[in-house]
Amino acid sequence: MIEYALPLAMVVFLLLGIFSGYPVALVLGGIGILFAFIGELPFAFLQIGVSRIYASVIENWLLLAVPLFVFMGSMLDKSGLAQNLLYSLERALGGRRGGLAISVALLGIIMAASTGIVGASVVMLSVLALPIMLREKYKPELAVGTIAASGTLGILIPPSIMLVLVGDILQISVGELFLGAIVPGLLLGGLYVAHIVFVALVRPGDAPASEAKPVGGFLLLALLRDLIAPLLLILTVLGSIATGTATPTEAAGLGAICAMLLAAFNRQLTFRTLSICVRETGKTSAMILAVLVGATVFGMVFKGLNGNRMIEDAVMSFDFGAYGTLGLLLLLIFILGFFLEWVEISFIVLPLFAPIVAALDFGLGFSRDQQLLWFAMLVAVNLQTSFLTPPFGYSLFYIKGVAPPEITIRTIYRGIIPFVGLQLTGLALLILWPNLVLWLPDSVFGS
Amino acid sequence: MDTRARDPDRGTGPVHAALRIIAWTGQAAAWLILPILVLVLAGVTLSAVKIGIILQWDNDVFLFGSKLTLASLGDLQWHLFGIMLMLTMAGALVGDAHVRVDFLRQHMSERQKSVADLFGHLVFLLPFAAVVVWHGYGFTLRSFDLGEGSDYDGLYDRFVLKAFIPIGFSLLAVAGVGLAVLRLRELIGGGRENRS
Repeated sequence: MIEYALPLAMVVFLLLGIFSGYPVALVLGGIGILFAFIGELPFAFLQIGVSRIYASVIENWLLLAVPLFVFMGSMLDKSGLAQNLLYSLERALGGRRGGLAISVALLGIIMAASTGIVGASVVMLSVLALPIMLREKYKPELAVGTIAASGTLGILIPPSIMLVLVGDILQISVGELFLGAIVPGLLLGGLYVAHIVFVALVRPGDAPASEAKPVGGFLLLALLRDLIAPLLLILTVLGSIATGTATPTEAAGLGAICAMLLAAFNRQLTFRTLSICVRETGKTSAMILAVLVGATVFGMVFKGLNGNRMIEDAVMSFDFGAYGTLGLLLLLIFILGFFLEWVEISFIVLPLFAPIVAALDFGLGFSRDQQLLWFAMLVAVNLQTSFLTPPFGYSLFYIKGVAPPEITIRTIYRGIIPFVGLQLTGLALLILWPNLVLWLPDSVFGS
Repeated sequence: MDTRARDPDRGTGPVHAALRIIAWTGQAAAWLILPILVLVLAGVTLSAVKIGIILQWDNDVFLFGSKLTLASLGDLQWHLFGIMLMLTMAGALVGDAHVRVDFLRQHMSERQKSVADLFGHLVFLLPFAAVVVWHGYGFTLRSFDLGEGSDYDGLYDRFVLKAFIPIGFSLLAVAGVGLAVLRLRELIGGGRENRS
């Protein structure tokens, strides 16, 4: 143990620093530098940190997709396209029992990329949809459950910013990750919708139909404009990546331009909107990528002090077999998900776990890439579940923050439990049948 | 919520002025996303019609060398991205946009928050920024001395981009010092200072 005193102390101080509430990016960088001094690494060693920041962040063309996707989502949100989409969906589906909840789930999925982080998309969805659902006399439990679950599903559904970064961290193709996420995403989305329909059938009072609204040609036209356009946008982005016509960065850029065109088409592309979107893009991408910059320095020093070997030794010493080890890693990530966003978890934890996972033998005959792709998807679903699980799951706190006061934290806990059950079902299915993840990328790209 | 800490770029005096400049720099740099968009669009279009060399001229020009190619456009994209990132990081600190884990923080008093922030600025931010500025400066100088540039007809004079690493982290350090001074004032001023 004594040989690992320094990296162990590094982890402890990292956690203390993070829990002090100081910005995570700077805690990471600061702890890295301090321990380079404490561990008496040569000062010149830290030069590598700077060239790493340059080579793996600035010179990394893939990461350019991050601000572009943030801009695209921000444009869809701030130009009112998201709101129009919800209103049209509500008018189209609201007439049926449970229809509104399904609209919200759809909106959450479509708007996934818009905010980059879970907290922000849950807040956006709550602000947009919760008042409408309460007004239509939905049971508050069902309303908040739907919002929290669909808001967090965004980290998984492509084009997801998290997957772009995970692809970069695990050195696997982002195109394959996007394709791999489609079936699990649809599976979870399908489970939510099935649950809502089930509730609407069994307890009609929980998910009432809206007052009948005229359904005419005009509505159909509006729906076509509000729904088809964003959907087409997302499909174009995904399609161009999946077919290999565009890299994720190019697709993100085209998506951002299309979002601007859509906004212009709806006469919403004012200078004000543009400047709000630009400002938000700058802030959000600085926030995400600063964590990467900090984690780069932290990771380098951690490795320099043999921290990676410590983690591998610790995990291997349990000797749980392939599935046991996988379970242990997922459990660790699940617990971390109570406290940290995916940004921190991806950048800090995944680089440490990746070599362990790549070396596991499940006896399924997977290549290294396939195994990591599968693992990435399990991590994504696992994290999403963690964000939803009471009492810590912090999507729930975000909802509490913006919900009207009559929605108590107890209501939120009660509402989310069925969805956590759905998540765990989905996760179990993905563990049992890796092909749910691998089938689509393998059949498109060939394995 | 800590309302005063929300807007450290408002107010008078040299500290607020410096923080205002940093916040403004970040907001201005965020606009680089628009030229990046245009460059991505141009890159996709030109590679679709298979145009490699866009323009060629006789004398070597700063950054671009003697021709404008598809590769120069591609390089320009991540050059602007790097500049944008380095210049927005400090502004995001002033605007309190960086990820915090407020799991415990939400239960802290204003005073405890100030202490935590002051500690963080001094112990985490400043050493981190100082080391990156120091080594980043050497990193840039070496690149300049070597005349480092693209070997695939992209952009030359890599030192220009690399210089933004020490520049960005200097801004971060200045922002850290400024915010630390504000926190210290709050702590010393204690209850006397009203939110004005």
